[in-house]
Amino acid sequence: MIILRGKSAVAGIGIGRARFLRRPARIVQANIVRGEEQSQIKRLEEAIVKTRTELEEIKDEIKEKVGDEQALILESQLLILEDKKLIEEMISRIVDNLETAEKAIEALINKYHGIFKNVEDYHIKEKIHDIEDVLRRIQKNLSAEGEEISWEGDILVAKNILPSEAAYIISRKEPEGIVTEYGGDTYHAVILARAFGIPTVVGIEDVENKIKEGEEVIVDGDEGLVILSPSSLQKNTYMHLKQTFVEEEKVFSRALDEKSSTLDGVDFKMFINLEFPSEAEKVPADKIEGVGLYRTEYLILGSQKVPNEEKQFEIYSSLAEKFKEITIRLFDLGAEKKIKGLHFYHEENPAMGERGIRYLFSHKEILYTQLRAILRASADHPSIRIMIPMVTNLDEIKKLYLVVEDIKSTLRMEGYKFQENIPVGIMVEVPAIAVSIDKIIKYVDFVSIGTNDLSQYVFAADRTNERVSYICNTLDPGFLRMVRFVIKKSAEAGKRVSVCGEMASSPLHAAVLLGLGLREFSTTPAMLPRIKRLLISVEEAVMKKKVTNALRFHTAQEVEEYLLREINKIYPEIHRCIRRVSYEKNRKAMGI
Amino acid sequence: MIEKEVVLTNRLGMHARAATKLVQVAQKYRSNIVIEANGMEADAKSILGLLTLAAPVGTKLKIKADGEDEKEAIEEIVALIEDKFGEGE
Repeated sequence: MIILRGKSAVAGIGIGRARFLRRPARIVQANIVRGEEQSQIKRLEEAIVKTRTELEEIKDEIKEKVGDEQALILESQLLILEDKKLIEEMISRIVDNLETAEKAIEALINKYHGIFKNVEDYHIKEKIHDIEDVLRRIQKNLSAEGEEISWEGDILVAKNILPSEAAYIISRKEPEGIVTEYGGDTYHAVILARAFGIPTVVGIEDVENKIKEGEEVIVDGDEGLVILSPSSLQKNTYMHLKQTFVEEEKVFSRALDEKSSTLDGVDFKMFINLEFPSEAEKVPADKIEGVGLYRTEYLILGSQKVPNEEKQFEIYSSLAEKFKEITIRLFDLGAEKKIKGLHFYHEENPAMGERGIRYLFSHKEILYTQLRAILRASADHPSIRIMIPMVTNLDEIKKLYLVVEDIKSTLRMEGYKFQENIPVGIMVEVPAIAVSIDKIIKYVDFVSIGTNDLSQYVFAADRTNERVSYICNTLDPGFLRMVRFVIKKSAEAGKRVSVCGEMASSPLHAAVLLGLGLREFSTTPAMLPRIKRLLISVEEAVMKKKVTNALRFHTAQEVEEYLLREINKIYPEIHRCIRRVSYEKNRKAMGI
Repeated sequence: MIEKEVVLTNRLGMHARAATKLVQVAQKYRSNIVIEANGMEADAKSILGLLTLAAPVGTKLKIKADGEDEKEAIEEIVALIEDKFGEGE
């Protein structure tokens, strides 16, 4: 049993046999003799036609399953395929050097690798993957069998997955799990895997030598671990966790039909966090209050470009059409979300650098385009709200209002309609704004607490750094007091307040938030039924009392133990809602 | 043949999307169109050619068109570049 540590890219657990991505064998034959040129050219032309058809098909499929933005990459590949220069080069190699079509393509792949290696601009350099992808596809189509990249199995293992390969395999074969060496948040395969909910671990160096073909592996996408040849104990534990999770989900989904109200009659509201428009299908829109957090930066992650105003207008309008309410958070770029296609300054400490609204203020054209699109979409959809990411002080809020007013007057002049009183709220994720919320609250329409970043900044510990992430414990009594302060002061001012961070998506934490006075929960679509089941099964008065007691402790561990004990005692039947928490403990017990 | 100089002012320079638009415009014309930058030349109808110019923002481009519709071609291309490829940046 070996454990490889990578980086979690998509959460969840995948169990099965490792299968490497098989790329068609590259038969690069010797040269041809004079007189055979025309037949080589004809083969090449046929392969190009076939390639075009395939790319069109994949494009349509991605468009339908994931969305237009993700399909753009295929459009740029089609342009490369139609590049006259490329075709001329291939033909001249066949005619002048008497090379087979396969060999000509191989030579061009090498040639373009050489050219792009020296390009400094990162987003142009990256295009080599698309060029190689297209050329390999033509090469593959040269053989009569036209062997497609083949992959069948459970766990997809590859050093690198090219964009069209990702599109093809992930959308058609839906692997149980994915393990790669390359990859990050903006990696194409990761974006698609997330859209399809496939557990994925990236960043395993030398992955093709560390994992054996056919070997049994567990992909733990929650922790970023890959367990090779697991012991039967490990396998059983993981299988059990996975299975019960799936079965329980079915039971929990019935909660969707019930009234959102605690056992003692306190009403609350359930919202989802949304990254991709396609996720909107996961939870029936009529059974929730709407979208509590729409992370618009994911519109850019796929295409590496800010969609233009019309495009954004369409996306926001069509989402607003589906939901009772939608809170659109302005692009939260910077920090770990640096898009290759956009401009960023080099920063020593990006997490504390130009991110969120700070980035938008220094890249006004992006801010203006987005606000125009949102405002215009609000004309027919009064359910749209605007949320500002990473706000630190009142100056930033006022500055944004000036921008909004400026855009409103331009839109008026241009004859566009919009919601004059469109609600504008803020993310509370910087400690400075959290502790002064009692003074700030009157300037905003609503607040949403982003507990992930807030905890990271409060504890001065990076949640993705395994050496210090344990410090970011949101059950820390000091942290809970800060959250309570924000909830209390907002409610006292008559403003709506929600939590959209991971805390709201974790059952025990959600129960704690209820006790702290929270009434609006914005969770991942997958966790929503479970959280709702939990909240309708407890009494608000009881949770409030227990949480108040818990705040007297001095450590997160004491708080957690006390609350688990009390909840199990009073509501033994909701034990399984909380099992997700004990999940981690289970794994620790297994020595992972 | 006519030629004209223009400076790349869109923030990302000749990136993939800009190159795509330029190719789409150039392909509408019959004239031969060549873009020169930093002493290198590229066929305006070839996305690979344009990408390999790797021209960042601020690069001076010389556009040369030769053919029956050279005037219209150059006008539309210059307009596209001056419009920052419609990126609104």
